[in-house]
Amino acid sequence: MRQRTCERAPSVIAATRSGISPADLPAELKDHIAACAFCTETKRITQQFQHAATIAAQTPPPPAHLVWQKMRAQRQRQALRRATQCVTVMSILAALYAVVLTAWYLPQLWHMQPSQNSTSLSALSSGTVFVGVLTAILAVFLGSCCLAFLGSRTNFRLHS
Amino acid sequence: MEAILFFANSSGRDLTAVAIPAIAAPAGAHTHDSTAMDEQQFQFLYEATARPIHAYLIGITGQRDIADDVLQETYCRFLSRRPAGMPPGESRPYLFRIATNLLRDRWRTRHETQPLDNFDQAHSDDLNSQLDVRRVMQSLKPRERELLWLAYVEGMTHTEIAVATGLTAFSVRPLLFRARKKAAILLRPEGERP
Ligand SMILES: [Zn+2]
Repeated sequence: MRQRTCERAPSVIAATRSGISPADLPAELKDHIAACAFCTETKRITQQFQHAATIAAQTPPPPAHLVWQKMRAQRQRQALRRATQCVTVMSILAALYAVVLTAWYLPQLWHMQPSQNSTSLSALSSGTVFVGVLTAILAVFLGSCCLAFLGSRTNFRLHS
Repeated sequence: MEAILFFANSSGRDLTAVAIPAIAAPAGAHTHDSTAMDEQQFQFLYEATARPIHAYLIGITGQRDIADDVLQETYCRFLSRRPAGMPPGESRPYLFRIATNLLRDRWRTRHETQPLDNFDQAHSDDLNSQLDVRRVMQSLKPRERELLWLAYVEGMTHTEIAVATGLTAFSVRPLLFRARKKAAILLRPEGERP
């Protein structure tokens, strides 16, 4: 049956990764590799992957300052998007409020008798002021919640 | 600063462990915001960790532009999502995990292929060996490349591979065994191949 593992395999990987030439391996490990099919295979695979890594490492990563600048730009875009999100939410709420208010106010004006106009208008205007104040408080509250929520969604800070 | 030697035995780990405490606990930074990072601190972190991750991304994708993009996004995610007070030693598998997840997302959403072009451009003096690497990498699935790279280039244990790939430690063993078997067959000398 095919050997599934060998307890010496980690030592073979470590020795191969360290770059020791096969001739310089400890004699005892060399003997084991020669006698163990699993470790022979392990050594071959490690050598090939190390070779792949050497090729990959010939391409250096982009410099840190460049990545930092890109990250800052991305961070700014995110902040802008968050701010715009809040404005969008508030615009939708404002539009909804305008529709609801119009739907409530216009039918009342339509059914109003001319004699009732003065008293009804003052009642309506005091009601409107009340609703306006209430809506303003609600809008401020919702806006604060929205900002606090969007602000809490990131703990990503970059110092300039 | 060339802080780490990618192929040197465990040097990547040692330097990561040295560099990150200086970042996690910069003088005077606690009073304000422990997650904040200035450019110099980022540079320390980056130089201690970026090379092996970049090589991993190139090894898996074979494409420099993808590797560069994913690397940058990896650090963005790391800075925004790393748990507060994360022990320095855990940064490495955590960064590999973010990079692996980003790569998978990319393959899933953009249906990118993995032509492994980079291996064509390499300046290897051993052409046969280079062709072997190319042939093996192309024959393996991305998941198999990931597992084998982490095990045989990074020297990670099964537990570390599980953290870096998001798999369970239990499933790493059979998956790695299968990938290894496939790679071993591909790498056998001509006469020994089935
Ligand atoms: Zn063995």
